[in-house]
Amino acid sequence: MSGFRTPTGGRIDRTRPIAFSFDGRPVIGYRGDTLASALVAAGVTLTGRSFKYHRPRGIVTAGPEEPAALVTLGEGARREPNLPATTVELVDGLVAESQNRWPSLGLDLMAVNQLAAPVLAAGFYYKTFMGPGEKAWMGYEPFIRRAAGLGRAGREPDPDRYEGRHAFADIAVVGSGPAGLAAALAAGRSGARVLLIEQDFEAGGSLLAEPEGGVEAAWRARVLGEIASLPNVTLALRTTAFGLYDHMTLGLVERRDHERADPASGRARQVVVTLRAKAVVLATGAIERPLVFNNNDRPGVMLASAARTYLNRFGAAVGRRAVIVTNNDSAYRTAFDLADAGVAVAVADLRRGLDEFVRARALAKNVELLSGIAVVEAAGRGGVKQAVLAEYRGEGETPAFLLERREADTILVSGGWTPAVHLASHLGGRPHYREDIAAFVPGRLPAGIVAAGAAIGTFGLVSAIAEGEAAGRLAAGAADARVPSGSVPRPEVDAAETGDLRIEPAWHIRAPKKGKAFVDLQNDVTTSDVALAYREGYRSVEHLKRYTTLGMGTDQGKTSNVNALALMAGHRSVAVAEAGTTTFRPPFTPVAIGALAGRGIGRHFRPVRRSPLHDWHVRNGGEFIEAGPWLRAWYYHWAGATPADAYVREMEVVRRGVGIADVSTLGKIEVAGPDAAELLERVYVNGFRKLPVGKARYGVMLGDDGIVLDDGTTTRLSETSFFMTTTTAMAGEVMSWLEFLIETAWTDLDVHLTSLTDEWAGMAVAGPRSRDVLARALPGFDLSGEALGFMGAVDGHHEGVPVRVLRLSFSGELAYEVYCPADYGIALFEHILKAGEPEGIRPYGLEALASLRIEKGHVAGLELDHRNTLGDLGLARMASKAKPFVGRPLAGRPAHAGKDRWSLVGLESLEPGAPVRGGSILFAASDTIRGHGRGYITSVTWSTELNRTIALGLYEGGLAHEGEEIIAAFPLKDEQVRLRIVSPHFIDREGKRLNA
Amino acid sequence: MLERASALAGALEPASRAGAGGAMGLRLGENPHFSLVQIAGFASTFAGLQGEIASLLGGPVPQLARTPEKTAAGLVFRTGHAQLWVIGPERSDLSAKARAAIPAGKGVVTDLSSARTRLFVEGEAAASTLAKGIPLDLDPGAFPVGTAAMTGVHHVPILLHRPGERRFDIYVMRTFALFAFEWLADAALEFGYRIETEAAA
Repeated sequence: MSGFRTPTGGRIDRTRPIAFSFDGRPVIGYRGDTLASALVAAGVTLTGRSFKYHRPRGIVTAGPEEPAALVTLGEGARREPNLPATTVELVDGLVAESQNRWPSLGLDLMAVNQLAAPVLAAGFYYKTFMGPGEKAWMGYEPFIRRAAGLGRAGREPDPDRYEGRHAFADIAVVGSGPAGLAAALAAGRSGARVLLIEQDFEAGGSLLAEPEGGVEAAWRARVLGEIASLPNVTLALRTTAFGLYDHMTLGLVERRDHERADPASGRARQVVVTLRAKAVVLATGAIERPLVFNNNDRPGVMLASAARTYLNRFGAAVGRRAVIVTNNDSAYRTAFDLADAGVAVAVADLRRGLDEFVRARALAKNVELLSGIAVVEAAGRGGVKQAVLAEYRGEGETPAFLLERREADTILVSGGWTPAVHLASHLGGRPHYREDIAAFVPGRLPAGIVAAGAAIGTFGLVSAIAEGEAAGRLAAGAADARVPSGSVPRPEVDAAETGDLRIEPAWHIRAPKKGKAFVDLQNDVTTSDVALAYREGYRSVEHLKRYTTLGMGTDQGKTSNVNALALMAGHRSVAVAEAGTTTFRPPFTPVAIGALAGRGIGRHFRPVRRSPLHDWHVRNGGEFIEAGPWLRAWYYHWAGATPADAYVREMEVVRRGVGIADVSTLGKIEVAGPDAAELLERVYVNGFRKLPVGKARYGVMLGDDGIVLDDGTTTRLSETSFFMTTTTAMAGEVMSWLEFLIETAWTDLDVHLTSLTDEWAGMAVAGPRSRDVLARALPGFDLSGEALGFMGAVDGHHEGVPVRVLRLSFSGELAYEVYCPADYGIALFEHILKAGEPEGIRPYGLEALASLRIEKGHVAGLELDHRNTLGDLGLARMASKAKPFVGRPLAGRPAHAGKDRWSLVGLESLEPGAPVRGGSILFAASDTIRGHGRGYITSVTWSTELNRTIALGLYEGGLAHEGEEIIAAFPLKDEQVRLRIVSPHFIDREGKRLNA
Repeated sequence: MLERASALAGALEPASRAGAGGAMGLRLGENPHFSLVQIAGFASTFAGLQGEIASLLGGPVPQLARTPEKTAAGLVFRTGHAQLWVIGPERSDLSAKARAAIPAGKGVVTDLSSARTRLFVEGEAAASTLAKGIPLDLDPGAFPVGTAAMTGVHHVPILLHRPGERRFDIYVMRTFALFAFEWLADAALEFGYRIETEAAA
């Protein structure tokens, strides 16, 4: 191919040259060019090497269906691979690189793969590398990936900004070709909100390929003008509708590379839009199909329609001597326009008996007509030099001899048209085959979705416009709007231009000599590969795809699928319709993962919850740790620079004096109403109906499955009102579960639930001196042992602020939980700290809090692993025998009563100094250390009380093994340590401290 | 004296940031000056309570989540089939009055003034900013002034209210407030913004 810029013509702006580079070489294009059109105009033929065989490849199409001309754009962190040059809008300073060649495009040493071609056939990887087993594959994989494959992404984080957005429209029109424009104008006239979506940077679709000054171009300009005057119609350029989902939801990706936005300005480079419409018009057009013959992948072999687009839209002629090979009428438009531009054109038409109209025009334009003749091979190593011609005798027939080697720099092919049925098929409708156009068209569409124009196989301009208008009218109706009549003008085209293809299907043009005829250029799949797949039993089109990789990759077989499945149908001796298509799934064209992630990255990656006391921790030397969505105070610098140092000192303060900790993250639920006690009675395994006012009780609830769901304390504040606490981790689940029960199962209960987790700040004041501190801090409260015994509760006010004091203990010491509205949390926290100065009160963090409870043997989220029964946790005696409760029926099933269940144990280290790690696998002393063992360590800490490492764990048979020596193994570090099973209550079993 | 502090009291500093092309199109921040009282009934009692609630509030009881009502006591949202939220002035005696008016056997009154943080975004691009995270049609035709919705933004549940064509108030769970605000400021970046903590009306 020796493309050149025509002296005039095209929609490019010749006053605005654009400098860019291709493989380091400076090239000039114009505003309005794509990278591909600029390369065509610059005479660049070779644009890359193929995936498997490293064969030279060039530009084949002028649109997103491009299988071959994939390039890498940008440098450094902005390096982006595998972009079709045909869709890249040319911007100043663009840096493009060809792919899959080493060391350079012209001299590609990996082309040696071509010599190995016989063994690189379909199924090659499976047979050669995977056959010997998984280990062998793991060894080969890196080498294979280096030899085959496409471009490489940059390794640095992408500096650009990507976003998501929600959008709404009454009517979404996908595609701005003749049908789409007509639909958008008609629908727009109804007053409905219309979004017209176009992937290109110019609206018009196939109209952009029409010559300037023609009736088609005039119609386009007029309709676009009318659309622009309607404030209710929005034209979204550079926006691809990549998926159609339920309820008229479309996934769109909007690209803004032309803006060259600076991410710091907040302007996103790409936006993924979730568009919800009331009706959708699919005017997605059609994609021309290549013809399959030997060496049909040579640079210089191009779709006939693409050559016309390059000529008329971009003012770029693809060559000087073109042979067009076609099986239908559409290619003649290219032939005539190229001839008008001075290109020498011959048309090899597979069909015989061409009609007089075509003959007359060809004669007039000096286009040579070769009827019943095919191009059977493209000759020329690096690009087309000759078109090898032979008589065409029908599908499957091999000509006996060659007719001629015709000098040509370009071979333009047209094997018919494939409607873009992708979006129409995303919801599951199977496309069906139409013999008259030799193509699949959309199957049944859901109500509210209409398709029109070439997308449904209507190729005539006037018919497509009429269909578009009707579709716009239907869509408006579906969106409850009405279209006035006569809304869309009609172009004055020649009546002979019906758009009929008069196609004679041709799937594989055979040559007398052997050669490679490519079906899928992107994946290097040839006709022989399809035949091989058939012989080896991969005969369904879905199996064909997986076995040969045909139709995979960035283009998803837009130009190859129909030829491939027709070939397979031929091998199977069934009709094309019977072979069917593979499944169409989103996205229509690739969408960057970064665009899908949008702003859900970095600190926006997932929600972060902060306690009402968060700012205090920040200001006062608190270090944080993530606990689910929460940022919790882990330890404080007053106690040490590292958590290992700090938590031990913080524990000491609680055991010997008094400490204060933030417990605001606990789930808090108000359960109120005449039936509040009844609800609790039903959901907790233990009784709550008789709980006295002013008293708290520890409760455990089960799921339906009889497995422990959560635990916590619930306090009775009045006859009808309770204050429930849950674990931090399960707060949301418990709230949802209780709401589910009262909204569905027990609608007769008069009870109302309110989450108070965000309303109340909570602080634990713990240690032998805690009462002294609180008595001073809250003078209005009687906190004496008589007035407020263990598990007692009192509500009151301090300086007008509501305060609730519960005498509960997680640490096993004399302790209180103090609650107040979150807005006053920091003030009350500071007030208690100040009041406790004489006692040396100090804040303690999550690490100390958790360690204190391990010493006391309280279970927490780590032990409640959603697999344990009450019995497993040593809580079986809590369950009431007198009442039903949620989970009771399944709690009694035999599997839940086995003696060997993994049950709660305390563990003591027998090896001072040896690390004991959470998650270690537990084995009996006599076991071989292998597999999943007999349990695991759930929590571990240094015990300041016992001066040794202690742990809680779940162990097969539990405390039946009390006193036994066992082994904790931590295979990741190849560590083993001896432990002894003991009671999980390491300290104060009599509860003297608690009740002090 | 125990001082009140909103969730963002320590986090929001008055600041401004220009967007693409130097734009400065939005005000955003927190307005902490409100009280929130939840009045709930039970399925069996709520219908019968509406008269009492209406006279307590000095205005109609909203029947739909979408359409809050302005009453003497404040702006009233229907946040459940038997549940109302009353957004009143910062100092309000509504909870005490409501507890006195509604017997414990018929309903529950709960003060939630600390549980929600009120964010706002105001300006020409307010709806475009929120469209980056809220799956609702905020076109004035579809979501007119005065409309409310219980929805979510970037994984966080919110109550959204449009007090003016160019202003939205967002009631977000207090513990998510900073996360949600950070999202909002990030979404607003291209339009440019000024951060403010609004003074009491």
